[in-house]
Amino acid sequence: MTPPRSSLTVTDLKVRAGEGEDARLLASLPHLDVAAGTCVAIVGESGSGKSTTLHAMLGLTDGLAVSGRIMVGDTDVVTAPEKALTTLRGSRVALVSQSPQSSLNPTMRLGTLMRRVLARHGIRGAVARQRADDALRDVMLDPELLRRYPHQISGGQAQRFAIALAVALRADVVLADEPTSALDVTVQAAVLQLLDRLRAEHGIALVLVSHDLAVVSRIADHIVVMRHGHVVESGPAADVLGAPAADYTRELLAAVPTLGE
Amino acid sequence: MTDVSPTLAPPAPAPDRSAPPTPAARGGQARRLLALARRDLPATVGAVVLLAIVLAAVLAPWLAPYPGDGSHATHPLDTLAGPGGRHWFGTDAVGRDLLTRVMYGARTSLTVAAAVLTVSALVGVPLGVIAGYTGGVVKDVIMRITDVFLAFPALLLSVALATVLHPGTGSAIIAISVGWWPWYARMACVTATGIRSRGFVDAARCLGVSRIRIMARHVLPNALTPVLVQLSLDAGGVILTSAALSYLGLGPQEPTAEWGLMVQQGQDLFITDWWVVAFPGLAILLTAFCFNVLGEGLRSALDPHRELTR
Repeated sequence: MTPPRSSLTVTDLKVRAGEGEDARLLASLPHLDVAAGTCVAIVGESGSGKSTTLHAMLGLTDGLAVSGRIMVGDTDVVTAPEKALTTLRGSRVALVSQSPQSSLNPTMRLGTLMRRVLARHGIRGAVARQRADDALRDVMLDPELLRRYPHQISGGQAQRFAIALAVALRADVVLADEPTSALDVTVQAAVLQLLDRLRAEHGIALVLVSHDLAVVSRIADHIVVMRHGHVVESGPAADVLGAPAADYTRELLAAVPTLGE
Repeated sequence: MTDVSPTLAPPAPAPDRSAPPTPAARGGQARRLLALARRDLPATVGAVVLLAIVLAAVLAPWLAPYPGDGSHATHPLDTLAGPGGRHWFGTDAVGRDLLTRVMYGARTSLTVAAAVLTVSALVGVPLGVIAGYTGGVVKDVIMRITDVFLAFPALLLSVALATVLHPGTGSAIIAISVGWWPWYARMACVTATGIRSRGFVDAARCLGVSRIRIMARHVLPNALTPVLVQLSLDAGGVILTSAALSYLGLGPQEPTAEWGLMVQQGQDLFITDWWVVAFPGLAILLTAFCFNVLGEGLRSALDPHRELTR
């Protein structure tokens, strides 16, 4: 990719619910650096603050207190005004959610959704059509799908479509929140492969959130293990998987069913 | 087409009901409607009768046997004739053909119903969607305002308002709408609150879609199903309320043909000349009943749990 891609840098991120003495820490991330073209995985069980962290990266933390810095390129998501954030969402940071089908409006055809989302970010007409076609080809979806409603496609197709949206918008940073947990095993592998390929081809900074070490071990360069809102371990994937420092990571690793061995 | 087809393919070579529709399947909408119609006979009958009533109302100037009787005409030599060959529904105290007046009355009633429901839905639904989606103080303010309106019995509120306003079709519409819109606001608010937490709304926010667009394009369209059902159920109620207002002399005035007004004018004659009351009364009953049956049918047809309960 020719244009330089902005990366994601998080410093001293703390997300709290409530105020003052009663404040409860939901997530804390001292440092995270996702360079363009790399994949960082955040691993932890449900309630460990993974999704909250992702939403903080989009500036979508209704009623929660966020401190620290989340830099996307030269924009600080924590302090940026709402207007700048709505532009940033989608066009620079895109989210691929854990339940692909329910994240599509049932009353809107996929093509309409694609067209409107692109138009929202100033991409219209022939350019928009070209982008949509390219993106669909990139995720290996038939353009015919654009005429369908969400209930007429499969979960795997819906997830590919969500990824296609991110690709069409040329998002620099893609946040994948348990992108495979709602899919069956064969489709899981395909979607992971797809994310991995797009990361390499488009130089996307990919943040993969999962409770499943087996999933992240396939594509992550760097792994952050979270528990109860705190980072218990962080390091290159090979180190974390090969020689885990924290007991909790060892527990998680022990819980992974070994596949294909 | 792609390697994800395993999730789509039906496990057995079952008929391809579950297969995704192709463009050609668009014509299947009509067939689906027909299948639905066959499943719910009462609703279908209701819909057909309503269609006939609407047609009779729209085409009254051409279909009615004595179009002049729809308003001013009087026939002093033909008063209170019983139902028969020349006057199927008989004539009223000034000799006007009652079939004609019932048909013209349908125009008035259906106009009032359509106007009241349009106003109520146009005011109530957007307010409810804004309240439900935004939440917080906005929701509190909007919902407390609707509560104030709902605190009064709707009919009393309408009667009071119609008394203040100059009696007529327009004031009847305003008077009834004032008591009616809060229900739509409340219903839309509840629905929108539920939709707010659905994945596609979060997804839209994550894609940078603005608040207003999310409400207009993602929340509103998904909140319309219960509104549609309610509109159909309420049409009967509005017709009853409008008949009640005109019965009290607060609605459309003579010589406008209006069912409630006709009942009121004929009530003294009921013992001797029953048809003067009976036919407009039956028209009210039939129309309100059909709307209710149709509404119930729509409710069950659009209910996502229908497949489980039937």
